[in-house]
Amino acid sequence: MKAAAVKPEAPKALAVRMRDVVKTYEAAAGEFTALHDVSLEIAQGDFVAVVGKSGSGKSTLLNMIAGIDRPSSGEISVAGTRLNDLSESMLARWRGKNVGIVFQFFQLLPTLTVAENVVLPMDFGATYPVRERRPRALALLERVGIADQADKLPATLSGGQQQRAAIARALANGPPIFLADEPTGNLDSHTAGLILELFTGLAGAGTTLVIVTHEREIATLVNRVVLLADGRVQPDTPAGVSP
Amino acid sequence: MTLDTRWKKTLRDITGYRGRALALFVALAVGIFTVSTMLGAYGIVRREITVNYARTSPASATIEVGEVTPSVLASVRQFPGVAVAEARAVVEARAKVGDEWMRMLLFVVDDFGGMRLNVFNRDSGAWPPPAGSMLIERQAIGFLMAGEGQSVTVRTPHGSPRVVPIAGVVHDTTLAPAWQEQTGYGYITRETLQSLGEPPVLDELRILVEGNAMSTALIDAKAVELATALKGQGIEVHSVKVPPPGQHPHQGQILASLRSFLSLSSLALVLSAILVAAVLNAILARQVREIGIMKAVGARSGQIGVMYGALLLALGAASLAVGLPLGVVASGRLAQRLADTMNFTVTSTAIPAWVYAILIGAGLLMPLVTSLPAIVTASRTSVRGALGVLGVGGAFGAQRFDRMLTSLGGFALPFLLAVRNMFRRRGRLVLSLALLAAGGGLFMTAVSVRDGWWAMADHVTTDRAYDANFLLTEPVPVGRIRQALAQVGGIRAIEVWQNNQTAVARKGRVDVMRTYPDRGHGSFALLGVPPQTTMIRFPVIEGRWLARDDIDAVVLTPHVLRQVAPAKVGDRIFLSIEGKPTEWKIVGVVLEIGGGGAYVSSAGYARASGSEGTGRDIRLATAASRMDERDRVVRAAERALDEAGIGVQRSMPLGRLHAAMVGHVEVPVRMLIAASVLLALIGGLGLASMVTVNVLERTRELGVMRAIGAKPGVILKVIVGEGVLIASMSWFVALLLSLPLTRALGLLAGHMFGAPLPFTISVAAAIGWLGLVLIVAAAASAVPALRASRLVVREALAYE
Repeated sequence: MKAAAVKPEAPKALAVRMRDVVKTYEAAAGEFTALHDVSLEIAQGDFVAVVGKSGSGKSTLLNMIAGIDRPSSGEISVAGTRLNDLSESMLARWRGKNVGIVFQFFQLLPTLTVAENVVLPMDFGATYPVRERRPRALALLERVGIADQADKLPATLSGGQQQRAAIARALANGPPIFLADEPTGNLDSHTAGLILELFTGLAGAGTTLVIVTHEREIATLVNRVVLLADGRVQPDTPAGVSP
Repeated sequence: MTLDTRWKKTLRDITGYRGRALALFVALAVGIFTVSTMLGAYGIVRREITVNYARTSPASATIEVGEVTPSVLASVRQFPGVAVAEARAVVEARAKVGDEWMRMLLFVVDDFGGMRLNVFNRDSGAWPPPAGSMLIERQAIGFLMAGEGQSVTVRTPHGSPRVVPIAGVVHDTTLAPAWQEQTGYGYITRETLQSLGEPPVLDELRILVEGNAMSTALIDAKAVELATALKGQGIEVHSVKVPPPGQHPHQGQILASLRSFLSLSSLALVLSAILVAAVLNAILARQVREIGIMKAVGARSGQIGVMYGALLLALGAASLAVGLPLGVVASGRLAQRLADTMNFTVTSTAIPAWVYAILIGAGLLMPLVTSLPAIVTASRTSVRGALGVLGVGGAFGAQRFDRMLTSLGGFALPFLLAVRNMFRRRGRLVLSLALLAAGGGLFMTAVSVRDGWWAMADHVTTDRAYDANFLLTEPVPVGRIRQALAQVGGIRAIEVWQNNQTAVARKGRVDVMRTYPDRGHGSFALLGVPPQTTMIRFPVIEGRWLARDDIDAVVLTPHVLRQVAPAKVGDRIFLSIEGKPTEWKIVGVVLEIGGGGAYVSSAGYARASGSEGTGRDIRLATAASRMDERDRVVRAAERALDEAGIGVQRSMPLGRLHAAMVGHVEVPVRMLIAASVLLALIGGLGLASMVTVNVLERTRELGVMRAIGAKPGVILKVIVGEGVLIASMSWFVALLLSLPLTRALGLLAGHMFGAPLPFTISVAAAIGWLGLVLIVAAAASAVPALRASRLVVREALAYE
């Protein structure tokens, strides 16, 4: 019996496309170039880890993708949108709907409850009708396992719980891209593992994840590792242009 | 309906910063209260003084003639353009109060029941007064020290002293208070006038013109037309007086004073708003990270701006809710107080709607406007920059100034740290300095202007070298006067001047004087003085004083200069002497406080009037050093004149003139003191808030210092040193700021004197403010610094 023909996999759409991106900062000590001619493509649904030493440009790279910072030169397209063309106001609006961001130090607003922190992006973006926002927030908190902490203030939660809350907030507007900058850097190993499990779950659901991390374990979870050194993507990593 | 999370955050932020929010609320509420009080009082007084004056049906013009006979009155009532005409008289008399003869005006009314012009109202007692008695104005009770049922000894120019019973009390809102003018007011019939030794003649025609009674041009024209017609009928016309239509005699002064305070109060509100901006700037600095988070999750700059703008609007609304009602109540009380002082009645303390509109607008918008730059800057913070802020470090060192500070050596480390820390956040430093300097500058200005007012009042005594001034009923040969006074011991010097009421005159025309019926406001005298007089030394504002050989030179006071405008120094003018125009050249302008006239040489006056060797105005200087001795000599001089048959129309000891001037400034001075206290309060609150915020922000930094071995004493020195340095710098800027402010306010406040207040900077205020800011800065720095230094190092390092 003849074997069925193997159909070649259709190329994935790109979630992130960077071309010759340079980022230079003016510092007290003089000019500092954080990224040197970085070209990078990340397909939709990829789970990418960005690794490198301190000062290698990892966070800068993430900031570029998130639209938090602008390149000195080069082009960036994320989720089909060319970020160079957007004003600050348009970037904020775009970011609220297309990008979910999680930070190392959680960055929850201290005067809002956990549920309110999750609702906040929905209020800014007006992505859901008002009466749907809190139920959605509770559902997201359930998904990350802290629904019972919904009406507590962040200061009363543990680090791991706060980070889960931050993840729920990042998912509030259902963004296609999820970014995390050292999400486990402030957590113990057990909690870090739980957080990485959440990320794995998200990746499995089709969200594009880009994680800046020092965690060695994450290399086994992701499908791609981008190594940065001195602001350059290293050629001997499975990074650069997608196959 | 649940609140959007943005508003929840905004409300909870207020709670989180409640100490600072409370300080801002208090400062704003105080500012709004102050402005509400002043603006409300201004609105009430402006309305009520006009209403009061209008209710008296003031005459458009008063024509002084030889006698208003019934036929003259009847013909004037038929004159085209005259709506109402009445005959009256005003006699300048004197009343005995204690041992002194005080000035008194007797208003003679033919028909008390039929008054239609310059109406006054019965308060109590008889109406009309029986023959031989009088009614007195209610404010004169205290001045004359006699009321209804009592008596006063009155002497008219041609009569002997007579005891006149007081049959009742009236309220005449057209008159300035008796205590302020140092003049009593009585109301009598013609019969009583005759019993006092004066001919029972009414010599004033008071008319109301038809048509626009507010038109000075119309009134002037009609009054001149009527006066000319009367002259044509052979009737002697002495003067035509047209006061500013619809304007109470003191209206200009009262409103000018209120406007001065309004300016100061408005600045107090601005100061409060600057305080809000400064503290908000500090709060926003601590909110940078949260702003970054919000922007990271999709907030636009405009949305962030709206949140903090709403916070300020809420603060403004809360401050308005407290400050405005309190200010409304206070404004009513202040207006009532002013009315009582100025002798008019407040019929309603309702504040005009435009006042509310201004207050609400200012209260809501002022904090927003001053804080707008901080809000815009904060809301435009980049996400990257915001999330990188950790509270220690910063960009210090990047600029040449920073490096210059770094190169400073030879000082102890705590001092160097304090100096460099001050300049780490230059924007905040500028805002703090602006706030403190504004508060200090305004405080010093308020006190300096108060001192200027006192200095102005003191001109009464410093510019005059005589102890009493007698105005005689008619010109008397100088020799006779000197002979009469020769026997009075204790007199050091006497000068006899010519003196006559005058007006701007034009040949062949009847000229108009801007005088009120009280014969005080708006009038001026032409005085013939020896050019080398030793009795007065008025400061020369422009041009020069009279020279020895001047014949046709005239020196004016600012009050008179305004009346002859647009004439100026170097121009020629005509002034009337007993109805005859005489020509003079303006050679100078002098500042005369407590009076106002036109000064010519006695030789020039004699030549122009044809009256050589006579005088009517005696200036008398005693050799006494004590006031009681001085008073004794003045009374003796008055008795000697009386015994010599020389009629005294008015005697004015210098002390009484000074008292009258002090009376004019008493109310504004008290208001200035109140304003300065409020400004000190706002300034002090602002300083304490700013310094506390600065220290709290540095908690983590202090933790770092302690972690590397700094003792609490060193930390205290650095923090308190910084606070004290900022306070000192602000004091210096405040002092510089107070210079132009004092000058400007002095110009505004000097309106009642016709000249700007003397430029005086209060040393006491400057030293007092320095002491206040240093103490507050030290205390406001030390308390949080001590608290921070007591935190466990780990807690301090984790502080956000």
